[in-house]
Amino acid sequence: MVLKDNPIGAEPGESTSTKPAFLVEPADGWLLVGCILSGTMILGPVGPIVLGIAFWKLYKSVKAGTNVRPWAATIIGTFCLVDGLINFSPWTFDTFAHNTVLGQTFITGYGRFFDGAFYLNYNSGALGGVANHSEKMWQYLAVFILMPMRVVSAWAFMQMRTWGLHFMKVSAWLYLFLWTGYTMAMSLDFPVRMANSEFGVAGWWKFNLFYLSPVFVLPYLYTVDKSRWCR
Amino acid sequence: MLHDALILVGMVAADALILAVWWFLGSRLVPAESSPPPTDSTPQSTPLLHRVLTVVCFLLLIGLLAECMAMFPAILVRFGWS
Repeated sequence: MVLKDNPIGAEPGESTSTKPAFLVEPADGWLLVGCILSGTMILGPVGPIVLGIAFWKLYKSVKAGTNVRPWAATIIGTFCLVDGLINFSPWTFDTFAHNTVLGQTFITGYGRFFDGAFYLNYNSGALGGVANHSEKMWQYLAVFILMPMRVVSAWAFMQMRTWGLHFMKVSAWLYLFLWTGYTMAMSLDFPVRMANSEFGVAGWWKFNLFYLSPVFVLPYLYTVDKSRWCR
Repeated sequence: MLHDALILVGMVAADALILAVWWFLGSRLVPAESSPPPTDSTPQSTPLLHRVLTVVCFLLLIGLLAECMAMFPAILVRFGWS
């Protein structure tokens, strides 16, 4: 791994007349597109291919010593970005597009596999989509507050923005809060949710293992060299 | 079909707007991290911790990507279109 002293290549305090590049790494365009495609889940079969191209380009720049962003920040940031998007995108389908064929197929299919609340009495509530009240509450919290915050902070973190590191910490703690509350809601509603799915408890734990992301990300965020985030 | 397409376009626009609002708020309101005074030596355990966390997150990322690739095709194969 090659780490540079200063991500923008300028001495601390030195004033630069040119605006910093929009992307920290040339391959970040591929990385962003790959994360977005993967995060939609519906276009998921294509996304990892684009992401693989991005990682290959980034890995070559690490090998050549021309990278600006530490490799660890790339891996951890990508994980958080994809994780945020795969929560944001499906929940927005249920929030805004629950009447479409695509939305119903995707969301009720997920429900049949993992969580009965997403297909039992679907589209029967006041707001449409999932009818379970506690799920709807978490959904609105996730769609309008936490997941967009997570997505934005992960991208800002990867772009080495000064505020990106701080925002990642804030969103990671909020993510932990959501995971705890969501686990409680799922467990208390077990008879009408997981019990009515194909995979049951095992499938739920397998799927939601990724909700533990803050446990692995926060120790990195609190021990990393902050001075690198200076764009 | 057109009805669905309009709703989906609206959903994408709403998603983009929500993300743009959070980017706007984050970039203007969230303070930068203040760097601690430089120390002569860094803890020896930090590089190891970072390596371990990177490997764990990489494995989780692989799992996520497998999930992203498999989920929708699996739904279509198992349940078909609604």
